Amino acid sequence: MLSFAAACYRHRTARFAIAILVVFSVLAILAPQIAPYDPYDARILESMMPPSGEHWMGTDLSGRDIFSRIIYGARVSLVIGLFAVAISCSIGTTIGLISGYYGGRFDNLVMRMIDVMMAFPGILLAMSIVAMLGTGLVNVIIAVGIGGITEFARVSRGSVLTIKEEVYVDAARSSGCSDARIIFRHILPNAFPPVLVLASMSYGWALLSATGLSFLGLGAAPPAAEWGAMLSDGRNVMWDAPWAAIFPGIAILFVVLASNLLGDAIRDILDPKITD
Amino acid sequence: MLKFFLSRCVSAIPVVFGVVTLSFLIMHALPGDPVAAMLSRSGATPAQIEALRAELGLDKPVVVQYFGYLWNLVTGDLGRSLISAERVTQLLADNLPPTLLLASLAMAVAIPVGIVMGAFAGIFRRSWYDHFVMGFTAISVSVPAFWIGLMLVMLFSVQLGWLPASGQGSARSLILPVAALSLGAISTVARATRTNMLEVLKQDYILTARAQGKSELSILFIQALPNALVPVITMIGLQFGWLFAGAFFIEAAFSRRGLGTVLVDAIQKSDFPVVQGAVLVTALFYVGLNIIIDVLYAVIDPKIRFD
Repeated sequence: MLSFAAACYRHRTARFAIAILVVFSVLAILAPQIAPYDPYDARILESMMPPSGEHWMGTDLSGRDIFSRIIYGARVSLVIGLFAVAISCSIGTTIGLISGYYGGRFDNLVMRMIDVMMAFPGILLAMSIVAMLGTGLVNVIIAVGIGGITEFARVSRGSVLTIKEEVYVDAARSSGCSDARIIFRHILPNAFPPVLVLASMSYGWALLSATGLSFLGLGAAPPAAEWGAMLSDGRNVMWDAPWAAIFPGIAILFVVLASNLLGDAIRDILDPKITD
Repeated sequence: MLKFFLSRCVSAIPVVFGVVTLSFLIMHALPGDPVAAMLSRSGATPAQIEALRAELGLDKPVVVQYFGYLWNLVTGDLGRSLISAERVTQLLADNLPPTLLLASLAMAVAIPVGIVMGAFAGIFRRSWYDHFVMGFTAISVSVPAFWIGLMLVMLFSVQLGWLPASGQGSARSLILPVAALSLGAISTVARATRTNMLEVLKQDYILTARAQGKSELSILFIQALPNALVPVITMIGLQFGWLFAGAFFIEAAFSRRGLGTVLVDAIQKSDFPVVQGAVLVTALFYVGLNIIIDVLYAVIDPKIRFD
């Protein structure tokens, strides 16, 4: 574990990606201390002011400070990604592990169901689930989380299929370990690297999907300081206050780029063979 | 070949069946009553709720409803919108073509641009051009396509006044939406082409061709590139499905009419028959597309047929 952290530190891309994510996490955690204004404080007289020393990123239609809203928005958006990936990863990996370990008819059935879910592009699946549960931020998190399950199930199942043939799994079985213990204590830790790569990549996907759904008006409702909802607000004043749509998009770009790069870097570090 | 096509269709049957079931579940998976949930927002009386339930057949057992749904699908009946009472099939027929056009054009742009971009990045590996392509693609898959759309509007409509910011009719109004939508697909195609190109250039037959003194141009574009493109084809199929769903966001950004606008509107208003119809059509389109791609793949690469 320590050597993995050291390898991450030595890897230039990983260092860059982690630095971005740390900066945004700090902004999110210390939002009340860092943000110069209250993100919900509408000052109609200061409506649509261009970026200046006073308002670094300008103000929106209601005169709210965009920089402060982006900082508070980091709280919402980063957490959305975390929860969504937690849902996809925990459910998907469990399904993949069990299905791959037991194999046979059960595995066949599970994989058929995964095939059906894969017949929906992830975002469409998420939209269907939002249609079922109703709109709103929490439902969007659940929907995006469920939309990502299939990938985790597929990837973890794939690694279980090779791992379960290993000698140490036979050894665990012959020393009387229960199936649950074999799956979670012996197989899971070894199946974890590809899952970790996927988790990092999915984080970016989850964030993009969630902000997209908020942009469509299915997620966070407009006054909320959430990046997708801010983009939707900004779109309406695009002609007079372009900064209202520019900056939230740049924030999204940084976080998603960082999580994609981190995924690439982790794959490099864990498996140097596939580096091109 | 026909046999392969048919076997591929047969193996898609369970998936189609699953897709249909999943779209049925949109209205029925949750405990509670979708009609009551929908109408309570508009303040309907219990009598009105009962009437609508009866009309939708929601008062019957779920199994009966499911077979009714299947039977209606077979007869091409997707029900009516709860809001406008318009036939869902008609609504889809009106709104599918603009979305399909947008997605197809974006794909038509993305394939050649992505292939050329990626092939040269692979050939000139580690050059400034390769670094540029890698940077460009990394960034363009990390931003929402609809945000790119907004940025393009700001530049080309607001600042320069060259192209319309929204609207439907003219071909000019399609340029910015297609550009915004194709960017992500260009990047994915370019990256896949580059990776496969690097892989192919390492193969023995390229070495043989070099040893035979073939010209570098013919080695790269006649021997290497076609082989590098075989795996890219499958990816293009997947990409098209994503583009189709991605078009929903682009439609919102450019205020265009299309399946996305219909779907989002229906989700917001809990207009379940419309949601079901739109989801079903998109998913079936995706399944059908993947069959076609598989067959195409088998035509190009005969090894696949024997798997």
